[in-house]
Amino acid sequence: MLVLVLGDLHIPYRVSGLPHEFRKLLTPGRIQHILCTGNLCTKETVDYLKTLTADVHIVRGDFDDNPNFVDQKVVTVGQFRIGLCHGHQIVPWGDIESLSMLQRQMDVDILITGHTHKFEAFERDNKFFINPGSATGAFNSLNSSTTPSFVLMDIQQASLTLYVYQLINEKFTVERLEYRKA
Amino acid sequence: MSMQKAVDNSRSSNAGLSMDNQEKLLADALQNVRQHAFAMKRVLDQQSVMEGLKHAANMLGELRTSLLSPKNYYELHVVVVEELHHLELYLTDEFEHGRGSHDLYEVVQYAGNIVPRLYLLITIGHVYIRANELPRREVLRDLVEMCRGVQHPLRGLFLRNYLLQCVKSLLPDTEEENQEATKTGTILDSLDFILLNFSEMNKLWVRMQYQGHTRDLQRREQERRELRILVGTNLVRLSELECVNVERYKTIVLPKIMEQVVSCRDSIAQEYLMECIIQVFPDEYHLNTLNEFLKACRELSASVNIRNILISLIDRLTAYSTRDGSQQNIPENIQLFDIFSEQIAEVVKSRINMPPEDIVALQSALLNLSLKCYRDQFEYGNKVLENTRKIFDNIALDTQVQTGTPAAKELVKMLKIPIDCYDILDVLKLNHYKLVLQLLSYRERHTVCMYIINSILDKETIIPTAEQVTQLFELLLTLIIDQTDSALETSRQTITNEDFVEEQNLVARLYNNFQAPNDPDQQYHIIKICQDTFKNGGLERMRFTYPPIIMQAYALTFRYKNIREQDEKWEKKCQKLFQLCNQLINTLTKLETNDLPLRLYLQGALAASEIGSENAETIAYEFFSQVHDNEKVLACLKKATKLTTQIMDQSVQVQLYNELLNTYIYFFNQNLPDIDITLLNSLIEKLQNEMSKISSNENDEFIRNQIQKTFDYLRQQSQLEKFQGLQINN
Repeated sequence: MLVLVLGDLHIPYRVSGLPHEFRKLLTPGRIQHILCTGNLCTKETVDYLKTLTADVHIVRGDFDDNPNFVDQKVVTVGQFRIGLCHGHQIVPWGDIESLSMLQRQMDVDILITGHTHKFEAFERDNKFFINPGSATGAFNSLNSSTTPSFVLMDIQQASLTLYVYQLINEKFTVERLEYRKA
Repeated sequence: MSMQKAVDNSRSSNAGLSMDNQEKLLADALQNVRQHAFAMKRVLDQQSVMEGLKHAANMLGELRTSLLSPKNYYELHVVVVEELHHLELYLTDEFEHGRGSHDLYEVVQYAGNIVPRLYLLITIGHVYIRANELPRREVLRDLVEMCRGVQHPLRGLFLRNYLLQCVKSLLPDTEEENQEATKTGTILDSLDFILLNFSEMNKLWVRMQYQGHTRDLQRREQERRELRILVGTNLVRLSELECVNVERYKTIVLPKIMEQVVSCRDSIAQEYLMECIIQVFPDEYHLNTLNEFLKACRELSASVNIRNILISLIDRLTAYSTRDGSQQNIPENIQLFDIFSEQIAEVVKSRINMPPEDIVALQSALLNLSLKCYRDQFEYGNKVLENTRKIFDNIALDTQVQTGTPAAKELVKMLKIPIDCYDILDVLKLNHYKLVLQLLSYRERHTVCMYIINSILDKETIIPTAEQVTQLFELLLTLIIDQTDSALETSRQTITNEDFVEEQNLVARLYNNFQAPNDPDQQYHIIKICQDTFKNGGLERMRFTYPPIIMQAYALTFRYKNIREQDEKWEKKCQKLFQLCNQLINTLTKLETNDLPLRLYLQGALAASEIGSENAETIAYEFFSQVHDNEKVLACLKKATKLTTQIMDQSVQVQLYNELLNTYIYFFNQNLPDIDITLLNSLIEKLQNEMSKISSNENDEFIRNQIQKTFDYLRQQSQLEKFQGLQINN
């Protein structure tokens, strides 16, 4: 089961579009679900995601045009409960303790958040925390430079393989991480 | 049975051409053909050649009909030829076994009717040549001449077509005569043969135009078009001869063809044959005969659509010149641009009723040629664009081309050519491009502008200087400011209009491609230019175009900070940028709908603090920058707070207060002066009051939880000395 995790695109307020290296990869019919951390920001991008697959879940970012996105969502894929939240609401931003609290509150195995434009993936207390970063490498006041990144999760029952796609200095890289539910 | 010579003089036009009638006639004819063919084959099996020929003649008699439509005649012809092939095979076989009759060629000349006679002569002549019974050269000449006996257009065309097919492999294609056999002929004889056949066929074909009633003219012309390949096959055959070279083409082949094409004065024939010549013969030939060909073009009948012929030729040579990626294929002495440019001018002058869309189409082909063959020489492309503008100025100065007309469509197609060929930075070098763009009405200008932006985004082209940005804006004005000729459209410029939103989002996306990566000052210029341009677009456009400017300005402050060692004015510049953003966000606050301005202020506050906090080089710098930045931060926060009080939606407002509080806490922790406990307390109180007003649905539950967490955090922190005086109740 392939799940695309991405967010913080900020089209068109901060960038003109996805890098073409990413666009080439993201073709319809290969991904089953999309989990989006928000800050797309316009309907155009939502429509684009819907061309990749029918099952698209989006939570509200602070720059999203659409006020009707929810602030948090829980989606079950395989044996994993996955929580999704943009993260601008969680202060201090990107703070591990605050994120852990959210994970407990949402009662999820995997918590996905964004907002910092920085890719993260770590395990804590047998739970997994993912931040796909910004898929477009959009500017962020917190970091001086942003690397474009997104994540692809391959979920088979209780095992999760994470593929991280990044454009580091215009070079395209892929990394792989594994996680098993306790 | 007596055989008498008779001359076919049935020139009567087709009769009884109703559909059912045709079907029946064809069916009957086919049945007869099969019967005669069967009889022919049976007697041939018994070695009775003469009887076989008689049956063949009867079968061929069916081709004498005047009653079938061309399509049906063709069907009949196919079957007859198939059956005739049996005769051919039989005779060939006889000769191979030394049993061939030597006088058949004579004998069949006594066949009663000319159509069967000639078909038999061709068939037998073919066999005899291959069997070396008769000299090739003589027979071929004989046959092509004798076919003149059939002057009925339809019958004549198919007869000569049969002749051409039969002798396909027999046409001599050598420079000199074959030494072993005599009188085989050379390439010159083949040329004579085919050119004569072609001429005669064309004459027959043209004559069809006048056969019959004027009310049937349209049908006849359609039928003629169906038959054109019969005439064209002669040209194809010419192109297949190996001994035809540029020289022979130029001195023998082309002049003869042209003679016939021009003198026949028939526009269907002229249009088809000119096109055929272009497609069938190699490009090198065309390059060497351009003048002759173009001269002939000028002599064509006035109703011929010369536009398509010229465009065909130009496109073909353009493709040839850039084949294999090189531009070397055209010899130096042939200046394609000059030749065609002149030619087009002549044509346009001589055909005063040429519709404007045709003129534009010709200019488009020429533009395509310029951009592809003279890639780095922009003056050619510019010239074409300038001329196009002049043409319309001569028709009606300062008048737009009406929307939706063919001329408008052609102009749009023309304007897309440079966009497809070049990237936008080169297109900007075509300074006459905008002259042509200005000719169009609103709708078409809109189409072209959208096309330009999409092209830039697809190619991911970066526009790196303020000057180029300015030039680009000249082209895209239609999308950026209200247009006088779109009076109807202005009322639709709102966020509720999907097309408008799509269009402005595109402009916003484009803005992000304006990047001067190594030159922050240039970036600053770009920002200023964009602000000056976008501010004339009206509030509804600014909603889309301002945010990217603001975000880019914040990003630029970071860049300035990074080069602070090389640029001592960096802080002043940052200050100017923040002032600019302040101004821009201020404007946006007039749009009451969303919380975007608020967000932008918060981003500004963040940026300001980031810029200032790490700057610890010298005390003077630090003090100076801290003061300015802190002021900025505070100003932003104050603005943000004020805006929040104006938000209508309760849940959204409460959430924002929470986020604001967390932001204040953040800066408080950063020891920003002016952010003190009293400020925090007042905000906490506000939040507690507002909290009671929100509902208890799921989403608000989330907000409550968030606020609770903020309070929990504060309670935790209240133990610290720093937070003394914090008033937080449960």
